[in-house]
Amino acid sequence: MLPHHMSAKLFIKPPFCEPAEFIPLFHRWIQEQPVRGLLIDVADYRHVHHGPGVILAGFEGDYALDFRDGRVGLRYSRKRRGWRDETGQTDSERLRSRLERVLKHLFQAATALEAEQTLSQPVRFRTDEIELTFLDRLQTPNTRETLQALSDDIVATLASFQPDVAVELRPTSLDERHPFTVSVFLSPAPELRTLS
Amino acid sequence: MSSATSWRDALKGQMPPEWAEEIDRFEGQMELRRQNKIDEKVFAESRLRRGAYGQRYDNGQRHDGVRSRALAYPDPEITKGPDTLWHAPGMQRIKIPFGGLTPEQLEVIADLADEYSNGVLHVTTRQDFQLHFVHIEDAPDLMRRLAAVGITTLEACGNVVRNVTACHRAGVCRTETFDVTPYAKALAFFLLGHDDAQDFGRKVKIAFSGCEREACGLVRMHDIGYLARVKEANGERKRGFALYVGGGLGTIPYQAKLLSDFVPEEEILPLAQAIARVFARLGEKRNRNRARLKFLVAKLGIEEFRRLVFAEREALPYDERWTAYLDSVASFQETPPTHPGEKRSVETPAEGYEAWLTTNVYAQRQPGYHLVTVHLPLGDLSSTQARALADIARRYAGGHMRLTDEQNIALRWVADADLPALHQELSAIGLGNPGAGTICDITACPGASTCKLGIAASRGLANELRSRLESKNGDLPDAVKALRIKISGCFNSCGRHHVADIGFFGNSRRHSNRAVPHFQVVLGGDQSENGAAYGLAVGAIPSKRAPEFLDALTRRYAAERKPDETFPQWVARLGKKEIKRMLKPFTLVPAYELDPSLYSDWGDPREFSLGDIGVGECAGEVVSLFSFEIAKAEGEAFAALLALDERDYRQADQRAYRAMLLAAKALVRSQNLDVGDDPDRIVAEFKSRFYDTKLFFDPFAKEKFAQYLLERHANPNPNPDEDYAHQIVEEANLFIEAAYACDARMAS
Repeated sequence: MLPHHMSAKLFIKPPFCEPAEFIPLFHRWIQEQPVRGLLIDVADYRHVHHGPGVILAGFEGDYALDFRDGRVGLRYSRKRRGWRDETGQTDSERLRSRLERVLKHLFQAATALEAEQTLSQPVRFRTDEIELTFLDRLQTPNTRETLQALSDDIVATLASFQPDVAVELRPTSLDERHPFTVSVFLSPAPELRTLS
Repeated sequence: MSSATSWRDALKGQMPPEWAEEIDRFEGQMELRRQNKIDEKVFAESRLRRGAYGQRYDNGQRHDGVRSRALAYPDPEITKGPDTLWHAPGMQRIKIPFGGLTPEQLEVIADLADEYSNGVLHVTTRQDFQLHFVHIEDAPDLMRRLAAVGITTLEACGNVVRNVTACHRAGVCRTETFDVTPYAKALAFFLLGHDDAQDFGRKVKIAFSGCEREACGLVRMHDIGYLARVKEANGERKRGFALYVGGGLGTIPYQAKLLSDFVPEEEILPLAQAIARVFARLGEKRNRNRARLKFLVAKLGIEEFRRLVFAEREALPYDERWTAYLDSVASFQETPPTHPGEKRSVETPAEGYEAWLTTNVYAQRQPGYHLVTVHLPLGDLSSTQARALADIARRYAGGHMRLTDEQNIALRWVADADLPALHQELSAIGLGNPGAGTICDITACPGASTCKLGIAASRGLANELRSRLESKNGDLPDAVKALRIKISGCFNSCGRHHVADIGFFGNSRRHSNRAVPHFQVVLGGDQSENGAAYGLAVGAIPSKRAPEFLDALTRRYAAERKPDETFPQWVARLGKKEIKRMLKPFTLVPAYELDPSLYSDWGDPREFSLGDIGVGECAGEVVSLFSFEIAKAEGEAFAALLALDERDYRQADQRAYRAMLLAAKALVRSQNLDVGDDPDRIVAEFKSRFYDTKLFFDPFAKEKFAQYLLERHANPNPNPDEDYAHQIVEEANLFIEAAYACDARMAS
């Protein structure tokens, strides 16, 4: 069970600035490259209700000021298949390594965002919850079996960022049509700087 | 849970075998291109014909507002077309014939948007979906998943017959002559991959309309347009169509000419085939700017074009598909949802219900039922909305949906009693907005946001105008509400600015040695009567001034119009001089130092530049018929090689044999377009035209390579083993090489 595409999202604490402010911000990020990966362009989907908001489209993956489910947050979605896994790894090791890379991208971008001075309201993230979505219905259908199969690897990956944290997983939907998504609750909530 | 590890395995047997084969072949061509064994132009046309389009910045360059920078994609030496890097993400177009969509199809497209794109489904002006930022490696699986629910992306782009469109009200419309849906469907699948529709200089767009007076299918602005007609003869009502040809928008719009005022229903397919043949034979191939059908019709004149088409029709070999579908036409009908209105009563309708009822709900000709337009801002909806909408369509519309050419989705067969509940459910997912078919329902092509040809931000402007208009929609006079705005990012008219009351298309002007994004204003178009009148450009204004100008224009229209005077009539009465005068104050551009905001576009803070405009792929790649056909043979030979690797010797033999047939067919078609797909016929034609004449003979090996095909055809091996399969795969590759050499000799 080794998905190609996956995403991770951190939620933003209120109060929150105007989403339009992210358009020039993400354009500047393309110029200054404060985050990982090849960045291509900015796509504005603020008009889509509870949609992907403002996307900083990249080659390996996209960053987005994301509004899905009506919850604002920063999301990193890994889109590209070519993971360059190390040879000799088991699927479980590969999954952990992929997940770790996705989370590193997210945490680094979140840290960069919290450091931004140009927004009308500073951005602050909640770190007690991370939403993971596995965008690969063939490898990871939205079922209890998938949850069972992936749980240990998800917990182990999160523990690698913060060893003394308690990790609890809750699937967000049991509708098999939706991508397999789990809310990962961390207790106590770690500092963002320790995660990144 | 499926035990399959690939979509190819998981969906085996769930799609027509020829579609499965076609996608495998494309995957094979991808691998060949990666190995530089297929020419990049041939591969570009091949992927375009499967809807895999290029996207802005795929040449590896992007202007970041300060300077042009290289985008460091890996393996920049691998391309998927001229100046198009392999790894640069692109756009996937998914064509939906006549816009007819099922909930299951919508759910799959939502899944694809989640997994391979950015979670957004975009509806186009030609009843397609588009997904953006898609990696080419994902294209084959994406296509397989679509094929498993009855959708092919084949011929969604390229120099072929594009999506066949039809009015979204077809079948439920109060003013239609009859339901054109089954005819549109039959023609779409008849021409799909048809041998006579593969050798065009440019694309061909076809539309069906049921009404003369409405905007309906906009047949007068299409290459080929069918307008429903009924003729009475001997007391019988005979169905047919008025047939229009040579219309089109683009830089210079052309109104279609009437080819025939009545084509009986049994003749619509063969006549389309005859038109395709005439266009393939006589249409321009070298100069893409003159290669659309409209130029051929204009050049020949409609009388001569008509003569050629009907002569071609007479010469066509009979095809039983021309009329086979007619048996099912009479019985074609959609099943309304059972028990309409049951258990879905709503005590208090959601906010905005009355306004929504006025603008988004159309009473069907079937009493008690309605067509409901789901208004999608900029044609976009999220994958989550799409899945919820699929459920709503099942519950309220019997699953019957159509994409509209104004970038919305129509739900059909909604019962009276269900309207409040439906609106409530749509509102809950952010799709209950009123304003469909009003000034707020703005059509816009992707423009500079993702299109390689886009000059200005058509979506940015549309979004700005939409939010401003929606905020004051309640206060707008009815005459203004009824206006239509359409916006294109450049002069190519993908946003259909010519048929709007108020159209805009992007361009650029220089001021103080800097580029300033502008929109040319086009006034007076009229989409009623199937796009009967095209607007005229009256002058360009800076992009950022467009909202102010629109405000001034509509206020003046509301104040000065005579009772019952339409916008085009008012524009005509006002006259060009006065319009120019009105436009003038909005054309002024302050110095950059005074107001730099005018030097960037809507939704894009970068200083405006034309540096990102690339070479568009709308025109496809002009490659010879032989080059295109032989690429299919190469794909098949590659598939044979893969089968050999998998020790599937029977498959390897079949594929290798088919590769030789396709290569032979590629040569034969240069002399006889009608060779068809029957192996006996292909071999017989190949033998008489290339073997008996010795044209295929190698200067040294003589008839050796031709014998590979003739021998395999005459004596197939019932039990191919590894040695045999190995040999036949080798022979197929040599045969293809010999076909190339033969083509080169003939050309010289």
